[in-house]
Amino acid sequence: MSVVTKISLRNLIRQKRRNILLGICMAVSMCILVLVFAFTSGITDILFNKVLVYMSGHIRIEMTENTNSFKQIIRDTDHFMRIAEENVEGIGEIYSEVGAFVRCLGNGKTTNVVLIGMPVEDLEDPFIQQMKVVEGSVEDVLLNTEEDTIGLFQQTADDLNVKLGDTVKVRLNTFSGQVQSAVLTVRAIAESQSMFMDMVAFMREDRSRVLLNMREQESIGIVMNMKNMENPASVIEKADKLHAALKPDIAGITASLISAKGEFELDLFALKTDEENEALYEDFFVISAGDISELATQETGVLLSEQKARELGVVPGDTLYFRYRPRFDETDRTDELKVVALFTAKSPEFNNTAFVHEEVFCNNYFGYLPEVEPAFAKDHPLAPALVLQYILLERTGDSDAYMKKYQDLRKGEWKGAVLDVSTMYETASMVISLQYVLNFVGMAAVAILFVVILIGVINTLRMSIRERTREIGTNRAIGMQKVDIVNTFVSEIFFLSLISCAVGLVIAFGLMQFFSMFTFDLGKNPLTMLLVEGHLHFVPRISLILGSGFIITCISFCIAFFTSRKASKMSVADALRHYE
Amino acid sequence: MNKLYKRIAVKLVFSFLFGSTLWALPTGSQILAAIDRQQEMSADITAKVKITQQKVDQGVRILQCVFYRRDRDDAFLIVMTAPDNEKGNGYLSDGDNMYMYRRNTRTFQHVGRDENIGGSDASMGDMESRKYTELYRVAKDAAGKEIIVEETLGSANIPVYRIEVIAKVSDVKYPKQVMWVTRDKYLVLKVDSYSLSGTLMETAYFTQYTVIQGRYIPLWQKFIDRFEEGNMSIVELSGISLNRIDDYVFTKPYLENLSK
Repeated sequence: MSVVTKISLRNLIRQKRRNILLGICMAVSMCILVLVFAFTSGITDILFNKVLVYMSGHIRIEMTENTNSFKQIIRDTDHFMRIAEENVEGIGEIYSEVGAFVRCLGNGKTTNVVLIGMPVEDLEDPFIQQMKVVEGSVEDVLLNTEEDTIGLFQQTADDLNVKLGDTVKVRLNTFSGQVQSAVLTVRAIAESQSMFMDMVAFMREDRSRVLLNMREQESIGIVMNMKNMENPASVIEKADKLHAALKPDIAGITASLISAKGEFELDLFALKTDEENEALYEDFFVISAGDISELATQETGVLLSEQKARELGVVPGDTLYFRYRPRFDETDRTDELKVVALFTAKSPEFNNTAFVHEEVFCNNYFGYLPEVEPAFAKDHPLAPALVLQYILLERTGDSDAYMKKYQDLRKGEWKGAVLDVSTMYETASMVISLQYVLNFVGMAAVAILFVVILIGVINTLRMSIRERTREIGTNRAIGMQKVDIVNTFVSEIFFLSLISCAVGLVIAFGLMQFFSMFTFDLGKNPLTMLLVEGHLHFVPRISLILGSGFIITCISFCIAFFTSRKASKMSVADALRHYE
Repeated sequence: MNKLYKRIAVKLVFSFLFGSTLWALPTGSQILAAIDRQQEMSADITAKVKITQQKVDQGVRILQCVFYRRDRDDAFLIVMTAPDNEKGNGYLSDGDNMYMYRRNTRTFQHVGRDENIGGSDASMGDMESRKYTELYRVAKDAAGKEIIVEETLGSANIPVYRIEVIAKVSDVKYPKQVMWVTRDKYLVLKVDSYSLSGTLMETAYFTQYTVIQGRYIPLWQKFIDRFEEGNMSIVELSGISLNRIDDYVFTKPYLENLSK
């Protein structure tokens, strides 16, 4: 240990009262910083990891059919899950949503709840894990095959005036808008958590699918929650990457065309017959019989190649049928077509292709995705004239742009599917704004308090060093160099701030424990959202703790350095004569 | 002459014996088509509408509006006249697009079919005229026979057909309905609506039919919520006119002007 360090440590012990008071100030500063940072991090943690994950998720994939009535459904959930898993890094959990907003009727009381379907096999699901069931059990809800069951949070159970074993009636709309109802037995009641969580009720996913009239592969959305949310804005980049990976292909059906003469397999595509696209298809085929303009008005119209029409033995005006095997159904799908025109293909690739009206195509394709879809190059010159697997909506940055996007969508009459990738910045911007505001208010308050305390610390430190000017003069008189003088004081303050920060940290953790012990019963006050099970939630982060210590040490170091350097520069005689 | 009498007598006996076949029940599709014909306006309509909505936890709320409907393209315009917080708000469908107008902000907003009107249980989609024959077919019993029963309704013993219909399409609100339709004019008097799981959700009564320009219009309609007992809505029509409505009525400026 160098002499300078020894002197510094000895000085710390020698001036007990002064150093203890100074140390207390520093410890309080550290304590306040750590406490406030932990509190704001706690709020961020609650909002991002306990509210948003269930409310909107960090990233969502949603699909809507029929833009006017807005049927929200993803027909092939596994396909999109796979793409998401391949393209989004750092996914903590990914799941498909099956649920609905339902009107719930208990014992003479009603309320609205969000009823979600939980996979039977997934008892380790984070949602289940974080729930504290106080009556009944999750297993009684999810593994019960004898009856339709439901799990509620205590607040909802109270609102409905129901107890374990009672029944509740639910009314909801299926994804297609049909009215549905059910009687469910309450088999689990969990401890209330927050306003958001209390609105949620859960039941077996397979039973919820029956209620919602959804098939096994269908869901209303895919939700992704990230593992690490220290940088929430990173989800935007991830969503952009996923969006790029979700570019749709041309929609097509490999089907059998059936006429009196026989059955032939060919590829069906939906052709947009507006003027804009007319020039496109004229490059590839010439109309040889019938009127292609009829394809725009005849909802079951089909445009066939001459060669295929000969094989089928049909002419314009004739009726034929098409049949295909849907991807998720056991029975074939059949529909009627009316030949409106024949074409001579300039390229042989189109001889085995038929083009149909958007209406008949959309009515079949989107509700019953084909098992076999023909490939059609996306960069083919004719591609813009054909219907896509879905319309991929542009990414938006905030909720206003997001809402406008959907407003604009409602103006159209598109019967097919629309796919959207969104982040919590669009779907739950209110919660994020709330987080910003709370963080800002917290930081502003602590900044003011910190500055006030810091001024006191700076002044005390400065005065303490100035008071010791004669000591500096004595040290200089016996031969101590200027640099050693500075080093002694700097080391002394450094050790003092280090010890003070450690003490402040211990006090801060003690206070966090103390404050967390109180239970706040705010009823239905929205502020319950900021509590976890009625308790304040602190999340101390190492980076912020180290940062706080660094700030205090740095400030102390600077004050000690400049003040002691000024004193060390004085002549020995002046320093010895100095009097405060 | 005797031969003629004999022939008539034989015919009468046959009629008596096999009357039930000669006066057979109409088929389900015939009844549905007849209902569609009755409900088909084939004329523009203007009416004042009063909706009395009773909810268990909210008490009674009265909504009033003026309803304009153009037959040609199903366009409609609704202007709220009561209560005060809804007064001046409007809903416009020009056949392709549906808009909601808010008087306070003087803004139009694109809405979908699921948008409710004035906070009532009625939605924009309910205002669209869709034919029963396109939405429903008559249900069949185990023997494959259409469920159509002759019975009487109410204390007045009105002779009716009771028919059970099930949805042909998926985007219809109620997948199953039981309807009581008068036997003479095929006027719908009562409808029980069931959920997908078969639970009775709503009972609707249509009474006080009046003839306006050859059309039967129910002036009083009552919708009883069977899911939440105690909730109900009564719709009363008055000031009905089937005169042609000018096209400018179904425009945004007109709605804006009416709301001032």
